[in-house]
Amino acid sequence: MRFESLIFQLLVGLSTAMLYWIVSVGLTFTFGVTRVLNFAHGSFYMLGAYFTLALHSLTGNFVLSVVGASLLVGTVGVLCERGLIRFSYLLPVPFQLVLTFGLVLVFEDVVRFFWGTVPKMMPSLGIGTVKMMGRRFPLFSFYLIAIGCLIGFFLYLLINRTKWGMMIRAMISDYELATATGINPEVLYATAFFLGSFLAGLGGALSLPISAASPGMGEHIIIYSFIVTVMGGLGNIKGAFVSSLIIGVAEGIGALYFADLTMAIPYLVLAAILVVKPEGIFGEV
Amino acid sequence: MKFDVRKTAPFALFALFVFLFPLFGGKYGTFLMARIGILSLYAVAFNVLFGYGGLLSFGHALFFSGAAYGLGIALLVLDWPLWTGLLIGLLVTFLFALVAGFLSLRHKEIHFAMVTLALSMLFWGIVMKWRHVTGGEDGLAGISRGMSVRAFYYLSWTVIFVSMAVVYRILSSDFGLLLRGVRENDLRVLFSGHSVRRVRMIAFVFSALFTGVAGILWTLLDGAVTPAVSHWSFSAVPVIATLIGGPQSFAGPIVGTFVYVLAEDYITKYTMYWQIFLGLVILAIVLFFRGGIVGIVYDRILSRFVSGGEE
Repeated sequence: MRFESLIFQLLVGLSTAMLYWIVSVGLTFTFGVTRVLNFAHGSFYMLGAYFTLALHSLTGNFVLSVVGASLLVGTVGVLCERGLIRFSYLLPVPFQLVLTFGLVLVFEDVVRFFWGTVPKMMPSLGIGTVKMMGRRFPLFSFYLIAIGCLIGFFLYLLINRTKWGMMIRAMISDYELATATGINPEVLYATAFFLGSFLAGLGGALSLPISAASPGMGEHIIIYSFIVTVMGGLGNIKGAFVSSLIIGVAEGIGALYFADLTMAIPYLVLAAILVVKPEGIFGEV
Repeated sequence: MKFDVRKTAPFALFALFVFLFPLFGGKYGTFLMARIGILSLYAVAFNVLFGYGGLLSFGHALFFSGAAYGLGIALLVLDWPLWTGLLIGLLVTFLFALVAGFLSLRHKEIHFAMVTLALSMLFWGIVMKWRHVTGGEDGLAGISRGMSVRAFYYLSWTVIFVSMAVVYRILSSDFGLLLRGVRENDLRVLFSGHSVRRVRMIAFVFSALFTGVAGILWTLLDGAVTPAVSHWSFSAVPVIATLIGGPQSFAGPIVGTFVYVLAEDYITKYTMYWQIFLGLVILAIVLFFRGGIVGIVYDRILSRFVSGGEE
């Protein structure tokens, strides 16, 4: 195996890892706050991609479309939370899962209705490549890695250095005491859901230069996000980052050595980790 | 067990309906009815864990497709006779159940659902890529059931009734009581000297085995195995059917499967957007009718006539 190929696959793995991270941190964060594991998170990812396509054909500006689409998806997320999901907070877990699964079915058909079933490609952005060690590397992968790290940094600041983050942490660690001090949980639920859905939409938008948008893309990413979330420990943001990296890199490198197993690699990694640490790498929050 | 007319009469009527159905149902109707029966067994087996054990598995497609592929591979790839295929199918499901049970039963609630989901998708990933054995995306076609659709209809409904009777017997035994005890309060069951883990594991294996029986019947009816039966969306079928019918009763999953399959068959004749109806129905059930159809019928109508008893 040539060394450049290894580096190339590592880069591909890292950039997909960042995509998994952006989406799954949204999932794990909303879970941490609301205790509902949202199947429709994958649908928000899909909506992010389709909204970006629509906005891009209107404005012609990719960055603007990505931001606009993510904000729109965040709004859709809040509407779902206020309109439906919040009524399930007190229900048993299976009902919560199935409720959000119902949302998945609805969103998938809505997308099929408006955009059809044929996968839609983004027109080329002309981002180009860089030449290193005699091989061309896509520049967008580097952008993606940078964006992923930036998001991690901002999330850290948001959660640890703002009043909003402090209220969120207070509510997670002791709901009763937090609400007794005058924190309004409804506002926090809604804003947390906005942030989580925004991240899902952002992930979908950023996936466009790599792969086409299709009605099935939400199902694919939600499974990966579940794996990442369970592997890192439910609600654990640090865990989501580490396990995204593990899954992404394992997929990228694994494609070189075990081409036949590529689709099974993430599940194998998860199974192996759960045998050793049933509660996830960093445990549940 | 006591003989109770009020309980056995609906069952006898239903059995009579199933027996006479091919006479007026037509060829497509008979096929559809066989399908409903098989999926009902799938849902009933799933509900052993969900309704009675309180464990939501999102990966039962693993056991369904494990048996289906075990059968398909034995018959088409290894060229073995039918009866060994049936044994291999059940054996594969049994082994899958042991491994999956070991890994997933250390968890409850969301974790359990996610681990079962991941394990079933692991098998899906293998099936899609291991082309020379599983046929990859195309699956394995050309499995002969060796009889007409009508004959197979009677054979499969016989198997379905017998399997359901066995499941019913297990659930109304002391073990069934223990399982419900684990659902309600596992600590108390533990304090009363039973191993919670063991109760869950036995229920898990039973549930998986009867799911495997359904998978074998399905494969013989279709004459083929495709990766679709190993995908997680197929694990969602019994979940949805059970919720439509009602998880708190034995008949719930059966009623739910009838409604689910018939509604799908009817709506897809008029529109390709069937999922949106299904999704809206699920939202309505979770928000307003958590007892499902059986729950509604029981609460609103039957409870006036029948007294006592949970089911």
